[in-house]
Formats: sequence, structure tokens, C-alpha cells
Amino acid sequence: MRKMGEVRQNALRAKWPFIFTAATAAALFVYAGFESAGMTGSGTDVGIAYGVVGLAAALFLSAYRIRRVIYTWKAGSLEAWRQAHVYVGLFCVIVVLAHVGFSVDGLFSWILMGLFFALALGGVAGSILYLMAPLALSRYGIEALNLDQNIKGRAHFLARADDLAGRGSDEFREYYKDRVRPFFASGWSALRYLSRDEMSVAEKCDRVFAGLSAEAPAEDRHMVGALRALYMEREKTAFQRSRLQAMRWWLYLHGPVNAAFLATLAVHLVVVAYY
Amino acid sequence: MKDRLENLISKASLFSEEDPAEVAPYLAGCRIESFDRDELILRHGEYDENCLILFSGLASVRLPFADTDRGKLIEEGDVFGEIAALSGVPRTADVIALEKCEVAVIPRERMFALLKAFESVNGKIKEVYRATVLDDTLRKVHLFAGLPRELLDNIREKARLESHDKGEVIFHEGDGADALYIVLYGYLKVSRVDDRRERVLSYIKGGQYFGETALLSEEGKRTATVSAITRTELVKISRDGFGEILRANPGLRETLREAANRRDEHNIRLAGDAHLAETLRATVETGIIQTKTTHILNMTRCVQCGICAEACAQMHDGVSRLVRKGIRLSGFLMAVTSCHHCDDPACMTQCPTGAIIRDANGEIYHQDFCIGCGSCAKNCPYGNITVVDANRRVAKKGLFERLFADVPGRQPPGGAAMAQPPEGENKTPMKRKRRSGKKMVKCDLCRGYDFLGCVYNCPTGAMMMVEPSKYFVDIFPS
Repeated sequence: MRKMGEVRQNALRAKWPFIFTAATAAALFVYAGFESAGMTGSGTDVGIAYGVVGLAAALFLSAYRIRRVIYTWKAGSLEAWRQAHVYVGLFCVIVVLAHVGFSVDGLFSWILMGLFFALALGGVAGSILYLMAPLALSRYGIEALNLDQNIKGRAHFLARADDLAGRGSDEFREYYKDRVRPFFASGWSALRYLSRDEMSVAEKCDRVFAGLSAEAPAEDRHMVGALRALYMEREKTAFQRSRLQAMRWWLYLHGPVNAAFLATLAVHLVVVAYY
Repeated sequence: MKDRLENLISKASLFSEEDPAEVAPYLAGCRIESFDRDELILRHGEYDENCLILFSGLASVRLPFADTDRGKLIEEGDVFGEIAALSGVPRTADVIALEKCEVAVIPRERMFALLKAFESVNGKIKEVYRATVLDDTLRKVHLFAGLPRELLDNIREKARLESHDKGEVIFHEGDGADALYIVLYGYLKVSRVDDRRERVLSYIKGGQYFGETALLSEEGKRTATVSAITRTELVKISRDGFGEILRANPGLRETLREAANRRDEHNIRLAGDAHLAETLRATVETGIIQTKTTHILNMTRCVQCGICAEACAQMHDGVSRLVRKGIRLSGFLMAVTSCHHCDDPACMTQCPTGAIIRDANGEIYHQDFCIGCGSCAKNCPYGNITVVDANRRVAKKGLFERLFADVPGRQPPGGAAMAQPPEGENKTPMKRKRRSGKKMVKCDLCRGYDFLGCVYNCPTGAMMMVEPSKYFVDIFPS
């Protein structure tokens, strides 16, 4: 029976870089041995052997998607699978290059290799993105994260700001409409916020409201502070949304590229088997 | 069975002063269990709140911390297992059958009914309880190691048992020191007021002692405030008793001074590290430290993909028991809303139907006959129990849908699975009709599976299940 409080961790967490390095060194060493004897390249026994390893690796890499959605599959934790996915993917690059003897001929081979490298480079980019995004998000502190809630849209903040301003005097409402509201109504594109860091978001907020506070009618000046807090929340939300969107976009890209690669690979296998 | 019951009542010294005919109805629901020679009747560390009476045979108590078997024999008619029954703590010792035994098992609620109805039974069992816990305490706390038998007997005679409810202050900073305290069970916090703000220094749990620093100092004043963060039971040893211990063991004074110095060093470290101090304050103040297990989410790794909640939902009738919000422990650690399986579970002790029970491992779960009254949800201090409609089930997503139609994060982060089943989903009547039409759900540590769905399916290792008192070991002084 499972013990209480057992901390489940990926036992290989720290070992993957060493496993990857050792496997890569072994693959290159074997390749170098056969290369000196002129026994490498497409169509040779050595090339086919590397191809078989590469195919197995490609199937394993694709199986990650299946593990992701079968929650009760007793095939190891998803964290272990993800790490294996990353490192086996990197190892695959070496194996595929060894399979073709570090040279590519023909249009079909170029397409296949192009898709493979798009996949591999995309994988590296995704790994970096998935490493950096949570760090950037958590720098705001947990309380600022919108976990388990709908990410509120631009209209939500605009409506709240309108409501807040509506409680002020006529003069303040005019001032709000001309000077503050445009900031709440401004663009919400994830791409715009993707290029910003969390400090620039805060600085922007301070910059916007530093001048506005002095211009506001004296009796309603306290409301500018409330609007500033709301605007800060809006900016933080936009910042989070941009990171989450980026991770989502990446998944939308990585999956189809993989599907295209697998389809091309299948054609390659049929052609090889036929001829 | 009637004869056996009469036989039990006549044998048990606990009922010797009572009329058997009056006692019999209270024991009607008891069961008799048989054990072979060398078989364990009770296992140390297990959660089991029944009280037992040895009906026939002979058994022995074995303490886990004693060098040799305690050798205390349990004979026919003796009551045992009363510590766990009265205080709700796990079993404190093994009990082994020395020959073929028959044991009468009295459920906890029956035991309490007996205590309420019969004063002599109450007095006797409290006396057995007092003698056993004091005996165990004097054996396991290193303070008393090597003391002569007569002195220990003397201390035992003078020691007092004290119970404190959550929030009660044992002593304030600056009070005169009059006693040493040993914690039987429960958790306490040690705090000091700096610049009108309370600063938590550490926490104390069962098996530890406190209050000796002031007794050793010349000023004789308490240097910090100690208060209970859960229901707590303490052994109080007077200043005189402590003096006798020191006289009998002169080296102890130096050992205690060294321990106090280590504690001071820890306090200095804590004062200089806001992150440590904040984590300590949060874990102690919120009571997380006294929980059996806690889901911790490391936000520096969490990509907010929602697979944890999705897996939880898929493994539990489409309704996730995990909600990724909760108590913030530090800049990046969060104790998410998921059952902590507390040492002192308010949900279980105050359940009107007894539908919430704890298994031998300490896991707390709702049984099928929960009427959905919502009492547990109200009493849970962490808001970790959710009410759902018992007559509806959320359709589970098929593999094809999950494989090709689902992109994690496409929904609002963690959206699909959270807490309440959406209205209008397909309705599958539950087997049992509940009075309220509601069902209480909470994390059951994936009962029936040999892994925790959320932890097992977290792709980045951000979701962890930890034992707070072990996980935060760097923060707390030993």
C-alpha cells in the first residue's frame, strides 16, 4: 500500500544530461569507427541500423502525446516522460545525421530533413519557453496569478474602470474619458506583451499614472489611485495571458509539424521497403 | 453472544463497579476478534480509534522507542488502546498476542457513550490513560534517560496532564517560569512580538518539550509566547520536579544550554531571511504544518497546463477535487486546495453520521452513506471539501477527444475540470439516493490507485505531495 506523504519524483531527473551525453558519445564513436572503413551513409547496413534506432526514437517521441492523455497508464510519471521526450529528441538529431551519413541528396530527403529539423529546433525552443515562462509568471508572486479562473478579458477591465469612474463627479468623468479610458481601451494583443518583461509592465503603469494623478480634479484624485491599481491588474493579466498564449501557440505548431513529419516518414519507409 | 457479553463485563475490571445489565446495552455492538500467538493486535503508527478489552489470552505491549520490550502484560479483562481512542492520535505502541487471544473491540463512539453514562468507567479509563501516557512519555523523552526508577516514579506522581484547545496560550513572553512542558500530541507555535508584530520562531509537536530555557535562566522569565495551533495535550512538570531531574543528572543542564544556543542561532538566521520567515509563518499560522500531507505547487515550474486537475477529474467521475488556489507559503510555493488529511480532522470528528473515516494509513475519506449535509465542508478550516450534485455525473472525455481535440491550456487555465460539474450535463442517477441530493467530495489521495493522479501527471514536476513537517525541515529547527 502507498505510504502517506510519499513524495513522487522523477528518479532520473538529474541523470538525463549524463545519459544523453553518454548515448551521443557512443553513437558518434560507433559512427566514427565505421566511417573510417567507409561503411556509413544511406543504404548501408550501418545507415539502416541508425535509421531503425531513429524510427524507434521517433515513435517513442510521438507516444508522449498518448501518455499525456492516458492519466492512469502505469508507464512512468509524465515528468519522466517529458524529460525523456526532450533528451531522446536531441539524441535523435545525432542518430538521423548518422543515418544519412551527414549528407542529404534529393528533394524528398530535403523535405524530410527539413521537417525533422523544424521539429527538433521547435522542440528546443519549446523547452526553453516552458522553462522560462513559469519563472517570468511567478516573479509577480502567486497572488497575482490567475490560476483556475478565466483569464479576464480587456472588456472586463474596461467595464470595471467605467464603473469606478462613474462614481466620480461630472468633471472627473470627463477627465477619465479623455485621459484615462484610452489606456484601458488600448490593445490587448499577446504579441505586444510577449516582448515585455514584468518590470516594464510595472514601469509603464507608473509612467501612465504619474502625470494623470496631477491632472485629475482635486476632490476625485483618490479615485486615480484605484484606477491605477486596476490598470496594474490589467497589465499583469495581459502579461500572463501573453505567456500562456505563447505556450499554447507552440503546442499548436509542434503537433502539426510532428504529424507532417510522421506522414513523410511513413512515405519514406514505404519507399525504402518497396525499393 | 449474550453469554459472551456477560462474561466480558464480568471479566473487565473497567466495569467492576457497575451493574452488568446497565452496561450490556452499550456493548451490544462490539465485536470479538481472534488473534493467534505472535500476531499483532495493534500496530504502532496506525490510525484506529477503537478501544479494546482482552477477552481471553495474554498479550504484551512493545514500545517502538524502547531498547527492549516494555514487557507490560495485558491480561484478561484489561483495557488497552485507550490513548488512540481518547485522543485520536495514531497507535503509540505495538500490542502482540503472547498466546491465542480474543479481543473485544469497542468502537470509539460507544466508548464515549460509556464514559458519559458511567462515572466509575470514566474515572478508571482516565486513570489508565494517565498512567500509560506518563509512562510512555518518561520513557521516550531523552530528558529522562538514565534517571533512577524512584525519581521517575516521583516525577510521574507529580506530573499533570493539561489539555488545550486551538488558539489557547500556554504562557506569554515575560511570564514567570513555573514548569516544563512535554507535548503528548498536537502542535504549538513559539512566537515573539517585535515592533508590535508577532514573529513566529518555530513550532513544537508531539514528543518535544519546551519551557526549559526560562527554568534554566537566572531571570526565570519566559522568552517567548507559546500557544496551541491545534488541540493539544501536555504533560506539565513543575519547577521543583525539573530541579530534581537536574540534580539527578548534572550533565543535562549543559545539554539543554547547547540546545537553547542552537535555537538562538536559528532565530537569528530566521530574522535575516524574509523568505524563510514567511514560509515558517505561513505553514505554522495556517496549520499546514500539522497536516499529514499537503499538495504543494511550485510556481516556478508550473506551466498552468491544467493536466493535474484534468487527471483528477478523469479519475474521479469527471469532477476534480483539486483546485489550484490556496494558501501561499512563500514567494513561489502554494499549498493548493486539496485535503490535508489533518492529524486533528474537524471534518471527521464533527461529522453527524460518522460517514468520514480514517484508514490505517491516516487517509481520510467519505463513505458511501454520506448524506451530503455539508457539515464537513463548513468545518474544514482550509475549505478543501466541495459540495457537488449527487445525482449528476460529468461525462468523461473519451481518449479520441483527449488525444486530438484537447490542447492543454486551450480552455481557461485549468478550466474544464474545476470543482463543480457544469449544469445540464448528462444525468446518471447515483446508486444511492441521498437525502440532500448533494455529495461531498474531497481529495482521497486517489484511493484505489497506486499513484496520485495530479502528481503522476504533472509534466514539469511542479505538483508535489509532501509531508510538511519533513519537507520544510530546512526551515524548522530539529
